[in-house]
Amino acid sequence: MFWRVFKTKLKVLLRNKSCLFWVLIFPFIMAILFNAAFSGLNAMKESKSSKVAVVQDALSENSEWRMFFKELDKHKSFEISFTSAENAKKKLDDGEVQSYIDFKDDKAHLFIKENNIGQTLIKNALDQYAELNTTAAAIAQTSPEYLMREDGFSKIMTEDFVKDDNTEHTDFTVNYFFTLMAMAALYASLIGIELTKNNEANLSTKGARLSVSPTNKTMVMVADLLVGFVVCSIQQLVLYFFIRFVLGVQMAAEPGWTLLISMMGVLAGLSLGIFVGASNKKSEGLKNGLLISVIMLCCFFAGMMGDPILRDKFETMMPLFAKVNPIAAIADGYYALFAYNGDMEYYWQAFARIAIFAGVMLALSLVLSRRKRYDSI
Amino acid sequence: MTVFKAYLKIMLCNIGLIVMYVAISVLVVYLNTMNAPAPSTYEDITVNMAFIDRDNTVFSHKFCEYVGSYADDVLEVEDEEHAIQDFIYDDYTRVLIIIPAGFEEAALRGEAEVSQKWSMEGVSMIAEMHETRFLTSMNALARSGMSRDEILKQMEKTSETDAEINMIGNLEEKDNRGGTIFAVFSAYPVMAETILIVGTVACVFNAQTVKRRNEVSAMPMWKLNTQLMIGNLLFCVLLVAILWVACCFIAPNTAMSMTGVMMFVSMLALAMTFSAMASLITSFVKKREVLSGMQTVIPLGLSFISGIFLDSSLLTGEILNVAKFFPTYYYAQSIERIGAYTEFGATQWGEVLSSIGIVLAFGAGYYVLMLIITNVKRVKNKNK
Repeated sequence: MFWRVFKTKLKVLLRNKSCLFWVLIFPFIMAILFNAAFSGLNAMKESKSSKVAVVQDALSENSEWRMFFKELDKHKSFEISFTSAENAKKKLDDGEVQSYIDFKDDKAHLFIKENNIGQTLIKNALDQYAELNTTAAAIAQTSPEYLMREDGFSKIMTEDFVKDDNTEHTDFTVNYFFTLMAMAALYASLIGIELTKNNEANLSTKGARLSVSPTNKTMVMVADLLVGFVVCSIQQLVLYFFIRFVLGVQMAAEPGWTLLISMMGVLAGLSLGIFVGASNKKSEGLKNGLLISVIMLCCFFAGMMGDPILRDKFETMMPLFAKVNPIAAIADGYYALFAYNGDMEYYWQAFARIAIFAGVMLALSLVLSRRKRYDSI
Repeated sequence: MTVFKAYLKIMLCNIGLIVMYVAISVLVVYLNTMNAPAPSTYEDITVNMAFIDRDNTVFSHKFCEYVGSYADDVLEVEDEEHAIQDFIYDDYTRVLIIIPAGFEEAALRGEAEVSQKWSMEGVSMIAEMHETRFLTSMNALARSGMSRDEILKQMEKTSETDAEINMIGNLEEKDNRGGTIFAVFSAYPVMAETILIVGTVACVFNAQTVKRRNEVSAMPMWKLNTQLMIGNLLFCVLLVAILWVACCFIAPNTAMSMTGVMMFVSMLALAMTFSAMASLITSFVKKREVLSGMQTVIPLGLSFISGIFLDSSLLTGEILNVAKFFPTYYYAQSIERIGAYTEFGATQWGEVLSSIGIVLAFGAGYYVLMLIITNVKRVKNKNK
C-alpha cells in the first residue's frame, strides 16, 4: 500500500510543472548565470599594472629619478612611460594612465584623478624612494664603500624579501555556489507547501477527501515526504556534478559527504515548507512568496548577493542568526569539505546545525498537523 | 473609472506581498550601502593585516609595528591551520604576514625575510610594498656592517621618513556612493514588484470569463486599456516614491539633491519599462505560478548580468554584450554616471535624458511586441 501511494505521489509531483521548475530548473539557471557573472571576478583577483606617466622635461639623462623609474618599470606592478607635461595631463584626462608625475626643484608632484590601488602603489613607490635615500645617507656616513660595491646597495634593491606562501583554498567565489546549492536544497520547501495543501482538510478538497478516506493519513504524509526527499536529493546530486564538472567550479571532492549534508538540507527545506503550509490559512501565493522571501533573505546573509566580504561582516554582527541560518549551515558544511582537507569536525558541526533546524521544523509541523478535527470546512 | 478602481482593489489584495518585498529589498539595499566608503580627498588604499610572529624579538616587533601602522586594521589570528584558512577565505581585503623563527638572526646577517598569505593579488601588493620598504632598509643597514643597536636606532629615523610629495588631485569623488549603490540595487525590487503587480492585474483581466465579459461590455477597449495604463503608471510612481522615502533615511544627501532627482526619474523610467515587460509576459503566460517564477528569475538574472548585484567592471565582455540587450544595463550605467556628476548643466541632463530614452524605448518595444502577440492570438481564435 505504501509503495503504491509513493508511486502515485511521485507521478503527481512530476506533473506539477511549477514546483518542478523551482526545484529542478531554477537552480541550474542560477548556476549558469553565476558562472558567467563570476568568471570576471577571477580575472579581478589578478592585479593589473599601475600605469604612470613621468614628465621628462625637467629630468636629465643621468638623473636619479630617471634611473629609479626605469628600475620601477621592470616591476610587474608598474607601467612607466616618459612623456611631456602636456601629453601626461592629456593621458590622465583620457584615462590612459592612472597618474602622472611632474618635477619641481627635484621634488616629485603626483597628479591623480581617482582613489584606487594603482594610485596608492605609485605613492608608496615614491615613499620607498625617499626612505631608501635616507638609508643610503646613513650608510654613507659609516660604510661608504658598501654603496660603491657592485653587490652592495644597488643589488639589495633588486632582491625580494617577501615570499608568497598561498597553500590555502582562497577562491572566495565558490561561496556563491555553496549558497546556491543550499538554496536549491531549501527550495524543497515549496514541495512541502504543496504536500500540506494536499493533505490538510481545511486547505484543499483533496485534503478533505483524504481526511475522510480510510487510508492512514500518516502513511500518506510519509509517502509524500519521501517522494519530495528523493526527487530533491537526486536534484542535489545532479546539481553538484553539474557545477563541479560541467561548469568547472572547484567544489569539494567528496560527493558522498556533500550529498549527505545536501539531503539533510532537503529535509530541512521540506519540513520548513510543511510548517509554513500548516501554520496558516493564507493563500498559496502568499505562502510561496513568504517562503521565497525568507529563503532569499537567508541567502543574502549567507553571502550570496553582493560583496563577498559582507558574509563575514554579518557573521560578526549577528553571530546567533548566522548559526541558525539554514543556508549558512549548509554552505559551511560544503566549505568544511572544500577547505579543511579531511578534518570533519567543522563539517559535523554544520551538519548538526541543519539537523537541529530540520528537527525543530518537523516537530512544529507535527504539532500543527496531527489529530485535527473540523466542525465544518 | 471602474477599471482603475478594480486595479486598485487588486493591488490592495496583494498589499501584504508588496510590503514584504519592499521591506526586504530596502533592508538588503541598506546593508549593501554599509560597504560604500566615500572619501572626498585622497587616502591611501589600506588593507586589513594580521601578523603571526614566530620570532617574538625586538626586530620582529619593530617590523610588525612599522607595517601595522599602514594597515586599515590589525587583526588577531591563531597560528593554527584552520584559523589561517578561514582568515584568508573570509575576506579578500586581508593579508596574513608570517614572521619566521630566527628573524632577528637573519636580520643581523642582512637576510631577513617574511612570507605572506592572501586571496587577492592587488591587496597583497599594497602590504608587500610596506614590508619591502622596511626589510630592504633593515637588510641594507645590516649588510653595510652596522651593529644591532645602530640598526635599531637608524630604523627609528627611517620609519619617521615619508616622502615629501605634494598631492594635487582632481578628485571628482563626491559623497554619493551610498545613494548610487541604493539606486542601482533598487532596480531589483522595482523589477520584481512591477512584474508581480502589473502581471497579477493582467492575469486577472486576461482570465477568459473576465475577458469575454469586457469584450461585450459597453466600455470601449481603448478606455479599458487606458485605465489599466493609468493604474500601472500610478503603481510605478508609488513604488519609486516609497524607495525615495527609504533613500531619504539611508542616503539623505543624495536623495535630496539634483543627483537624487536624476536617479529617481531614471528609476521611474525603468519601472515603466518593466510594467510593459510584465504586460508582454502575461500575453503568453496565464498561470499565476508561472508568473511567480518569472517574477523571480527575470529580475535575479538581469541583476547579475547587468552590473546591479556586481559591479560591471567585474563582469566579462561576453556577459556585458548579452546585458546590452536589456534595459537594466543602461539603467545601471546611467546611475553610475549620475553618481559621479559634479555639475548639472545641459550636457549632464542630455546624457541622463538619452539614457532614460533608451530605457523607455525598450518599454515601447515590449509594448509593441505585446500588442502584436495579442492581435495574432485574437486572429487565430477568430479563425477557430
